[in-house]
Amino acid sequence: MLSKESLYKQSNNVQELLLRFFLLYFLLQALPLSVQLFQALTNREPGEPLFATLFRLARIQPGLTSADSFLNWLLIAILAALGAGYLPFAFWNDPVKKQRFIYLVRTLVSYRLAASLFVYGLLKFYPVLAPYPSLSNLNTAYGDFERWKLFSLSLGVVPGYESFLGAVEIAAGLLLLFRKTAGLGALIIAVFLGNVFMSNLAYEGGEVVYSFYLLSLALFVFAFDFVKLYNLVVLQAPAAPETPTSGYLSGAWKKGTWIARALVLIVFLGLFGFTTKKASEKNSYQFPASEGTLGLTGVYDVEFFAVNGKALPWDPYDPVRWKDVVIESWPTISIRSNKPVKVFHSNLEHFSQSDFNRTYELEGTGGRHYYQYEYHPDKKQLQLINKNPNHAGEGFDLVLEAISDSTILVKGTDEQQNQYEALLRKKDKKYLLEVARETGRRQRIKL
Amino acid sequence: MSGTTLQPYLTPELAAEEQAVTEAPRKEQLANSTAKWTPFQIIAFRIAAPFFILMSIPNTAAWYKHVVSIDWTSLHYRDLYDIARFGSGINFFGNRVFGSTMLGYANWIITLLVAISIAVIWTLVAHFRKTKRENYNQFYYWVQAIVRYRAAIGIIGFGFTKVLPVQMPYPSLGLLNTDFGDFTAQKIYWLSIAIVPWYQVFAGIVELAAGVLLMFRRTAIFGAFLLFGALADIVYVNFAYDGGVHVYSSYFVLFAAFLLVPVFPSVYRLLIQEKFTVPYRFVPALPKWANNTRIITKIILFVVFIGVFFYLQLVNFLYDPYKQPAVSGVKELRGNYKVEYFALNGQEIPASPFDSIRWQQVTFENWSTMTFKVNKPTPLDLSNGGGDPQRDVNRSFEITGTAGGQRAFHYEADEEKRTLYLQDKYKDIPDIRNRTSGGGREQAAAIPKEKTVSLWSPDDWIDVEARKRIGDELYKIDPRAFSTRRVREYEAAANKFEKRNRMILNYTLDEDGSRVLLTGLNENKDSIRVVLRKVDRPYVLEPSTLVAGNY
Repeated sequence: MLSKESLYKQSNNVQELLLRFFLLYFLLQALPLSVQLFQALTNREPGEPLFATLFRLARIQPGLTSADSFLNWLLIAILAALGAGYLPFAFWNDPVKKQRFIYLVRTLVSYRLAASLFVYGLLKFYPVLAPYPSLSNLNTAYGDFERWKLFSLSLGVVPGYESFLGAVEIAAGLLLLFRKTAGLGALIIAVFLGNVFMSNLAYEGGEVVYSFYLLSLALFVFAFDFVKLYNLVVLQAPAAPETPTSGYLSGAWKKGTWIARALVLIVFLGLFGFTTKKASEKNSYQFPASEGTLGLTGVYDVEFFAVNGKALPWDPYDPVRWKDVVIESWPTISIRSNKPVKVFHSNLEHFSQSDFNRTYELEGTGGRHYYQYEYHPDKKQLQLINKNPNHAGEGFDLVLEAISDSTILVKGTDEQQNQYEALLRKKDKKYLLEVARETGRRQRIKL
Repeated sequence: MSGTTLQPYLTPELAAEEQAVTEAPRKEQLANSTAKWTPFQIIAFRIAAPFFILMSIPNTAAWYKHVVSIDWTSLHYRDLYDIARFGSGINFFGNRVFGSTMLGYANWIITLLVAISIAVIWTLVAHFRKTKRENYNQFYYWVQAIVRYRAAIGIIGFGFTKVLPVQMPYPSLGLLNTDFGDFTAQKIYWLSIAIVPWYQVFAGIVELAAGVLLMFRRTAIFGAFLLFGALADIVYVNFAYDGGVHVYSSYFVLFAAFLLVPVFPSVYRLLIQEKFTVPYRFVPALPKWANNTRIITKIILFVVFIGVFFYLQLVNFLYDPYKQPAVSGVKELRGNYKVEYFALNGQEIPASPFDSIRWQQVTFENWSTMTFKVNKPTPLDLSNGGGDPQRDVNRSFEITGTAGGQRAFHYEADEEKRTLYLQDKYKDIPDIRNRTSGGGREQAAAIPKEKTVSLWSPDDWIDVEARKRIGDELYKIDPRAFSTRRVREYEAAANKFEKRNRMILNYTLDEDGSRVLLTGLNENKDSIRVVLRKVDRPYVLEPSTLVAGNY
């Protein structure tokens, strides 16, 4: 039988080990010791705007893999366990130094979390993360999207709500930067991130590891206040506050935290916010930035269609015939047909400088084929190149034979030299989404 | 207090303070429960108490009628849901302030004005009778208890329709075939939850957890926090997507905020001011009989609103998902079809993107619905397709908030004679929904300018012989899902011939079932002849792993 004292001592030892483990674990998690850091700095595209680089910096998780993986967590946990058990840090035995170490780790984790919250918050606040659906997206059947894409589109139709969600993240980020409010900020954002994590699981959003990473940081920060709040609110017992820490931080340490806080604010809130706002004004994040030189933006029915001289009657299930064509305001043309689409499953945030690689419009969706176009007005030549990497090399060389107010006659060949001829007629399409927004749902609408 | 590793390091002064507080007798710890309230607290309470009590009392005659008429021997989940969801506050002065509904919040303002009047009278009476009190601890406790239980039962009612995901049903074939831009924002939000039933379950569990936590004094504060966070988001969602439930969701936010008020000062003191904090706490000492009553009431509420409710909701999920029809569709017809041939009054109408008569993309759902698309504007039902209709023809989630020429017809099938009796799911004046909560008035009030002209009369419709062969829809449901509520609604509609578009079509299948010939009369009593070919229509969207209904 163990005596009461030895039991107490044992449990204290376990607690001490756990404390050391978590401190080291979260210290490592918060530091950008990562292959991803190397990539973020070296893989810059020429002319990449600042916010894209900052985004990738804030997105970094420590570890040895370039993709997010829970394996990195395991590695870090092993390192932390070894450190907690075997590394003879002198400060473990000095209560003042140990307290300072705890305080510094907590501060570092708070700041690390705040930087990510600012970045993701700003991308939603200036709603560029989930933009308003493109014309092609509006003219795609609901069943022709992947789940995460429907999530993104559904958020994109309400930019005000997206901004609100962003504002919550930014506000929590600000709370995290100050000791007195860090616990509250962590609690608020833990609830928020819990929902983000569940959404990522449900919609296969691609940020499962990353959102869980941020959630774990938030829980770590909140843990310091949890005991106090639990005492106060549930046990309804008196609770002791955080002890003043300024006494433990010498001038240099204190200055250090001030500088770190200022840096996070200036870089991830100020600079990132400013450049994101710029990008949102030009709508140049998810969708191609340049303007479509063809003009003629709209949705077109395909009135007449012939392949190799043979006219095909209108039939939405025909494997070859086009059903409708969308000309976007940027240099993209999408064609709806029954030719199967090998869906491009890219559900990770990425930024690309080249319009061709800005593939948000076609990610996670079938139903339509998306082409970047190049238009030569002098010869009325229209070159279409399929933007989907799974359909690389496909495309059309077309000539606009005649253009009237509402019709376009195109002729040309595809990549296999099949001859195409199509007469497109512009549709006067009204979207219930937009009509109902103006009239409200209490009015009667015929559409 | 010692032993926790996350306990902050204590300076000698703080340690002494801590020791003094923790070792004091329990009575003294709770010293501030007998403390004198400030005049502000007293006045605020005299307003808040009548306000929250009035906001917890059902205010529609329909609710009381419903509760009295419930057949407890043959329950439907909606019987309990309707108990949990009621309108409240003062409504006999109407629902407008200065002619405005204040986005639906006018009722709150009127109730607040009444509460202020009560507070004035209360204060005067207390003043003249010299019965002024030091505090209202006892009364405050009971007001909090009322608010806790009102919020708990309300949110549990809401949560169960998500825990067993039927509130947002997985999109039917007809909806999957509809373009994204042809939905209202409200529909887009509902569908975005519908496609992830497991997430819907999670959201339901959060609401349910909040409700359960609210039922216990010690955990109530977490319940209130959860409720506040979750429902504040839902309020914003309802404003953003025009969801229409902003007032009812705000109601829970308001109730949760009321419960958070007393802990606010102590949390602020502990975390922000970083001072030693002694919590506020008052628990009345109840006589034994009262305590027993309290415990028995709690047990009954648990049994009914957790146990029975769960069972009923499970039955609803399995056999009668309330937003989609309950009765199976004709098995051999189910699927997606393309229209190969279409003739109206003997004249073929060729396929064309510009034609406004010919049907396109026909579907037969798993249940008793046929849908198709016609390239022609049609009056829309912009309600959110909820409520409590028992009859399949009134379950309209397939068309609500949906345009793009998408039409949906409920059918009764005479499988012996291969005849479908079809009725349009759209009708000019939708039934009033959620009667017990006083809802549905606005939708019912907007009568369309252009009314459906139905050429069909009862004499043309299902005759006695056919009815015998078809059977009564009332009984075409799993016996476990049968309820008195269902019987009452079917009986009430039995002798009515609603003004709807109707069709009677005979169907003939090819030997391999890949082609269907439909012939008969359409809604204008024109003869139509339609040849459908079954198509393999793969969707990018993955099918649900949690399927409601049994078809």
